[in-house]
Amino acid sequence: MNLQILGAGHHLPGAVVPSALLEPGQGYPPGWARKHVGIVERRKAGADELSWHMGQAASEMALRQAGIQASQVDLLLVHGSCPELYYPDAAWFLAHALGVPDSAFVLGFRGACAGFLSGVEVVRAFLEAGRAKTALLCCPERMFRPAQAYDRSALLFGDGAAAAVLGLGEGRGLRFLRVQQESEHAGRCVLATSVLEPAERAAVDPELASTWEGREGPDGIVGFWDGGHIFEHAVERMGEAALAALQETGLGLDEVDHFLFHQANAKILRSLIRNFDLPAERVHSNIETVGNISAATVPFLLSEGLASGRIRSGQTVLMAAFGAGYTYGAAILEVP
Amino acid sequence: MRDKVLASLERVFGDREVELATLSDEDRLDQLLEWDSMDVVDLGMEFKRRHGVKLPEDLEQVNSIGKLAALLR
Repeated sequence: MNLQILGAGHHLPGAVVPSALLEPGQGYPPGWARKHVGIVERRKAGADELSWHMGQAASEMALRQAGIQASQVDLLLVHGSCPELYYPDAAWFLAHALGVPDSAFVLGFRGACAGFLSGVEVVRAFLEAGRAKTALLCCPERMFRPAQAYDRSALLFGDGAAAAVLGLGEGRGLRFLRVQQESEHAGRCVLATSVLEPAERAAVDPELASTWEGREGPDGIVGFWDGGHIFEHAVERMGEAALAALQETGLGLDEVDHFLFHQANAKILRSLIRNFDLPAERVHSNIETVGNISAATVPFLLSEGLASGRIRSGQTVLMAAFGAGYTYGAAILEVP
Repeated sequence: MRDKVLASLERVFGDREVELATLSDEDRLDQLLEWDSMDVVDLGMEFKRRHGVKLPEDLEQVNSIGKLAALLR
C-alpha cells in the first residue's frame, strides 16, 4: 500500500497588495520587490478571513477533488507558521467548520516553510500504523501581517492556504519522503512574538542577539534573518534533498515531470535551477502573484497544477522545501 | 579569464538589463547590478560550483570583472 494524495485544494483571500504599496514604507525603491525577489503582488486576508476560514475553503476543494466527505476524515493536521491564537489552535476551529467528527484525531503543528512535507511524514506514520484511514492535511498561512514587522520579510510574504486529502491505496503514490534539519542554525531565521522581553530575546541565540536590536515592529514582533546564510542553505539543502530523492528512487531528472519547490523568493528558485541544472520549464512557480505563503507553497502549487491539468495522472512530481529551523526535505509523488 | 567571469555573471545576473559584455574590468558591479546580500552569496556559489574558487566575503575584493578574473588565475 502506498500513501496517496487523493485530492488537493487551494485558496487565496481576495485583497491584492501590490509591492509598490509596501516598498516606500519599508525603505525600498520602487520596483525593488519585482527586480530582487520576483514578487509583484501578494494577497492579504481580511477581517473575516482568519486562517481556518482560508483553510476551510482549501480543504473543501481538496475533499471535493477526493470525493470524500468531511465526516470520513479521521485525522486532521493543520499547519500555521504564524497562528493568530496562542490557543486553541486553528485546527479545532477548522474541524468544527468542516464537520470533521469529534472522534477524529485533530492537531495543529508548526514546521515552518517545510511544514507540508513534515505533515505528510506524520500522516504516513498514522496511516501505516492503522491509527487513521483518511487524513486531511491543511496549511492555512496568514503571514502578511506578522511579516510587516520586519523590513526583510515585509515584501516576501502573503496569505493563502492549501490542503490535501491523503490515504493508503494500491498502485502509484508517494515513492520517497525525507524531512530533516540543521538545527544548529535555528537562530538565524526568527520572527519572534511580542511575548519575549528584550532581555529574553538575547536568550534565543546569544551569539546573534545583538543583531536583533532596533528591529522591533509596531506589534512588538521582532525579526532577524541572516539573509545570505539562509539563501545559501536554502539553495544547497533543497537541491541536495532533491538529488538524494532521485538517487534513492533510481529516477533521472528527465523522468520527473514537475518540480515543486518552496518559493521563499524568486532569486532562490533561480539559483536552485542554475546550480543543480534543473529543467526550468518543469519548475512550477507562482511567486510573482502569490509571494511566499510558507508551508502552503508546495501543496498550493500541487493543487494548482492538478486543477489546471498541468499535472496529470501517471506523471511524477518532485517536491522540496526549506524553512526556518533550518528544516528541509524532499518527496517524490507518482500521481495515480 | 574575463570570458569565464562574464559567462558566470551572465548566468547569475543575465536578467538585470545590463549589457555585461560592454563593462570594463574596473566598472563597479555591485552598483551597476544593484547587488544585495543574496546576490553576493549567489555569485559565490556560482564560482565555487563552476570554477572551484571560494570568493572572499569582502565585497571590495569581488566587485569588478577585473578582481573576479584575478581570483580565477
